[in-house]
Amino acid sequence: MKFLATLIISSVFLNLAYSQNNTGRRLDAGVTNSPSGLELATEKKKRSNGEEDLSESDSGVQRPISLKSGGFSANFAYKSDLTYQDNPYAQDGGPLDFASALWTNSFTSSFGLGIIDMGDSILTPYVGGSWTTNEYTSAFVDVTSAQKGVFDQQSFNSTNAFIALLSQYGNGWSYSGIISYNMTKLTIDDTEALRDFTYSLKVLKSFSIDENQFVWDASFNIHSTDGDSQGIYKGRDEMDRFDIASSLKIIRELGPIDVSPKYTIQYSDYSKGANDDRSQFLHNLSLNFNYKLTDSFLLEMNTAYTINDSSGSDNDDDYEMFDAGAAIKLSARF
Amino acid sequence: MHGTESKITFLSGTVESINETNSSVDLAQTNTPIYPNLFYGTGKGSRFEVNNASYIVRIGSLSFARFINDNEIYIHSGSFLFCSKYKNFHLKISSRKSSATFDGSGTFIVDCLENGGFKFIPLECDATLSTDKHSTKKLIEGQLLLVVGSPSYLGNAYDIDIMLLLQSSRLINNFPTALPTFDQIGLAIYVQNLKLKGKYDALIGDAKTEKSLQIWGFGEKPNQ
Repeated sequence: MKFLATLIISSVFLNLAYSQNNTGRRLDAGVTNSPSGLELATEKKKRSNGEEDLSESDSGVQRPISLKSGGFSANFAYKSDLTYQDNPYAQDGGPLDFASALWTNSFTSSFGLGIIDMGDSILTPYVGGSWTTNEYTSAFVDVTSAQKGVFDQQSFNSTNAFIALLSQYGNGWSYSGIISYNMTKLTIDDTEALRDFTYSLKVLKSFSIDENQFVWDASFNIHSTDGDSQGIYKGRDEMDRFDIASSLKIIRELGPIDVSPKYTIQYSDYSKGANDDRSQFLHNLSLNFNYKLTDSFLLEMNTAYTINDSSGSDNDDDYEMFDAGAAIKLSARF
Repeated sequence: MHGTESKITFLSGTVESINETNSSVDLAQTNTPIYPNLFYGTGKGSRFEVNNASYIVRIGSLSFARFINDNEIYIHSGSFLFCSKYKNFHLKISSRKSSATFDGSGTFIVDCLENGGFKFIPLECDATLSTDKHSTKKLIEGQLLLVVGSPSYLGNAYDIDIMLLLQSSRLINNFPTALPTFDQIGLAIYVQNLKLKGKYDALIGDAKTEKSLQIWGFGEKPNQ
């Protein structure tokens, strides 16, 4: 039974604990995540409470539900997140190595285009996108007026669009192919700082041990990235890279709250310009608390610690960072 | 396939086998064959599992059933679960008043009704169900069908929460081995979740007559 619960709740492509961690890393590679629209589409509603035997019959409780007639689905979400970041610009010393807060507002939509029964698996194609504002603020932190000026210069908006094909198997394994477009534009002068096409293949397995649900995944991602000539990365292709990532997430219900620690390791390899010989290992440990007030209203608390160990580039790209924040999320599914 | 190939592979509580001809009553035991001339009755909290090469049948608590042959089960009261990966399996299910024929493969639960008919609940299947008045109906996973009347016909159909049913079903949870179709049931739940619009604050109960069905509401009462 726990396997089935795992399949439904944690199932397919949840990366919620991580979604906020790389939004602020505008110009650094950061962790490659699934598009937030895809997470929204594949997020499962909290399971019904079936712990009690509500029926005298051995057959089980029969609760009527309402189903859509076709396989089309639409998902919309708004999320507002305020996060303290001790190193928002992913620096190792220097004038940009100071703490900040990041206020993020994101609008996400995704559309399931059908449900294709393949016998031992289910195929589901998705399209979607998101638009996010990222504003650095001096909430929680003391900064100088010069640093406040940096906030204005570094605040940005980001856009994402994706297409994805998911294949879910009944034994808890799932596979996905995702093509994702990401664009980052500075708000101060509308400079397009980064444009990235990511091609991803991902495998995911969910399982349970005792009361804990585990979600393990591994992905291979190819990034075709253009840095604007006015941005920090002057070479257009310097951020081109591939990365291999794997994560393990544990989900445990503590009363009404879902607690999810997660560890991610990612290896990235660059090949262009000043990053010709650059490679790096990134480790991230995060802890996420989710409290679902209703099916459509979620409160989140997140904290994460990241270590990036980089070598081979002209610059020192090593850094450590700590984030902690809270968010509200409103979502609707049709 | 013959009736003697079917064996009781798990038994919990008190299960009696009743010979209709000489009115003898014996306690059923594990690893004993199922005989077509015997009725099998389970006490409260008792249940047993029958295996043969083609299917698994789990008889629930407070049930009274007979395995007429490998392709026909009679259930007087209570509930049972049927599971077969064998393609194109043919099974006739009859109750005190009604009957239906299952063709295909899959896992389903039968739950007897007070009106003499039964609920038919497919958990996962690639199969059809036919009755006297309905030639053939393609089964939909998670869609509860009422089989009522004599001659039998299909009453209303209700989409039900498969996950909740599985979490609460003793025919699933109170047996030591997992069903071989668990992966397929998992996919049925996945598909149901993708299509889910909402859940009603109600539970389906018994049906005392052919035209009525008990629906138990829960949650907050609407304002008057």
